[in-house]
Amino acid sequence: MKLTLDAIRDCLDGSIPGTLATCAADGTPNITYVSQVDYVDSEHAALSFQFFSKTRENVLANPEVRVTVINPLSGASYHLRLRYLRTESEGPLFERMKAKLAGIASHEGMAGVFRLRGSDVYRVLDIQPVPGPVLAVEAPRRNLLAALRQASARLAASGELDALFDQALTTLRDCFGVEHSLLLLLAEAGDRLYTVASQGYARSGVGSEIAVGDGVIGVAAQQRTAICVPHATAEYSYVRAQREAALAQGGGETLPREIPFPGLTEPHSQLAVPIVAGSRLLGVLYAESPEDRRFGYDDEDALSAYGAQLGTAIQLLQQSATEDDGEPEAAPRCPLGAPVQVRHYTADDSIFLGEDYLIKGVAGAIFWKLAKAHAEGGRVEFCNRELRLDASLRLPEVGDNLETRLILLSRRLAERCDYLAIEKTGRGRFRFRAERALRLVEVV
Amino acid sequence: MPSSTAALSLSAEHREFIQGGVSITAGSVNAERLPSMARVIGCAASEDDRQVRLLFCPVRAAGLLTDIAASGRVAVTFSQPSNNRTLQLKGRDARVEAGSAEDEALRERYARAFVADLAKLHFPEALVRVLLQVLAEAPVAVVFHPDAAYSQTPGPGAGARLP
Repeated sequence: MKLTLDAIRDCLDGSIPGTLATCAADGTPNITYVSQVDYVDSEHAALSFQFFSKTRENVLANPEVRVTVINPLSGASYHLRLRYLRTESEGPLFERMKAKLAGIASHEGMAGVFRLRGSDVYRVLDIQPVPGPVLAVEAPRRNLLAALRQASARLAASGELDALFDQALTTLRDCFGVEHSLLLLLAEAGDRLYTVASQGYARSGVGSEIAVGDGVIGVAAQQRTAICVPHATAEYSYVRAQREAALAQGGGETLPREIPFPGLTEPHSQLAVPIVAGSRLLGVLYAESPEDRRFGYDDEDALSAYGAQLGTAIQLLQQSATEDDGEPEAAPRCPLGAPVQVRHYTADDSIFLGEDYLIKGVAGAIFWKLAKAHAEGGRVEFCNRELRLDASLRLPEVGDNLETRLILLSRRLAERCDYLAIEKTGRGRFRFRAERALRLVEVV
Repeated sequence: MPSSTAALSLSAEHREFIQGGVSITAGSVNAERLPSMARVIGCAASEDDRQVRLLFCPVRAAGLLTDIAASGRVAVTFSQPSNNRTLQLKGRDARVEAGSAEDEALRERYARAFVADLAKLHFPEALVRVLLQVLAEAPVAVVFHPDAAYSQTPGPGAGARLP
């Protein structure tokens, strides 16, 4: 039976460089090493193009080449006959390879030397195993298809958006053995992702933001493709980047308006997969590990399929959560403790409780509206519909994230104080509970 | 033999490098200019530094040996896995020879050196031995006079022809 590339893609994990044989126009052979031979699909491979070289010249003159790849565990070698098709220097494949190469480069002490100029796409014409016995390979730690089936069943059982967010990550841990993970959703403007749930960290980091296009998570959102980094690399470390940015700013002069990213300080493996529903990007599922090469092609596939299921589940619950009923009613004030100053900065809708930063953006604007209604008219009961109809909140008309923003706000309040809370009271209805008087200050 | 195939004389540094524990791959081409390649399982330079002897498993390298026998062309890349230092030698007078009794000692000496370098990267010896296995009574040899040498260490000087 003819071998296809997916059957041998364990050889393409980047731990052993490939060897590339090309032929010049005058018939002279050339042999070079290639850092990355990447799996594209069962009939296509992509080679990292890093340097202008004899190889480059040869490939353009004579597109048929041969590559040898080695399984890093069994030692099985394969000769691939390939035909060069094109070079991609942007887009999902390029970004995927760029991230992977950054990990390989820093692992090999070649950071700054290995730089991806392009992804050379080849058609696989033939794969021949090199004869001879190979080593037996240990069974994988779990069967990912079985894990995916179990995970799908668990997702389907979630009936509330709030519970689904946490369920998504506990399922990732229980079914796929992923100990450290984050769930981020795309903000209304489509330029940022914000954390709604996390697992495996000392701080939850709920509300922390990542710009679309920034690092593993941001690029996965931008390109709508799984991005995997197999080793620790400064180029893709969020925690290090945040720390350096804070140092560069000098710190202390302005009030902090960023919720720190909760991730591992130096992850040795990172995997981000887009969460999509139909053609709509909803967010990103991010997994990381202190182990090198924790996530392979099979993990990428399993988590991508899981991300698609999660997207459908989130969309279904978002739609059902928007079905409001009933009108809000005023309720008597709660017993009050010592008053607390609440500041609202109109420039970015950031909210401070005393000196503590709470939230900004759409969730900040929602909080301000609730706090004002509460302080001025004693309102306690609210419904989603009135928020959605409030033009000052600037919620988009189609596919808004209101329910998600309320969950985010309620989680931030639960983490930051014990005297304010948002409690769900029914479908599309909630209570704003304040056990201290609020002294509102608007800062223009 | 064309006059342009004037053999290079290997420097002492290159001589030591190609006889050390480096990863070695050889390539050639057939009449249709399709490249072939195979792993080299031992390498020695001649006393006068002008000839290189490469060892192969005749079964695992069958395609390459056929192309070398027909074309005489060979390209060999030597790379140290632990630091990516890389050198390529090319020749146009390569020929295939039966292995000698001395080749067995050369093969084992090379295997030990290669295992030692890969151990620095945590590759187990059993894995390296799979790559270097011989599925025949004895290895076969290819001898050639290098007529060009190139530095291929990744970086700005990659691909530069060496004097």
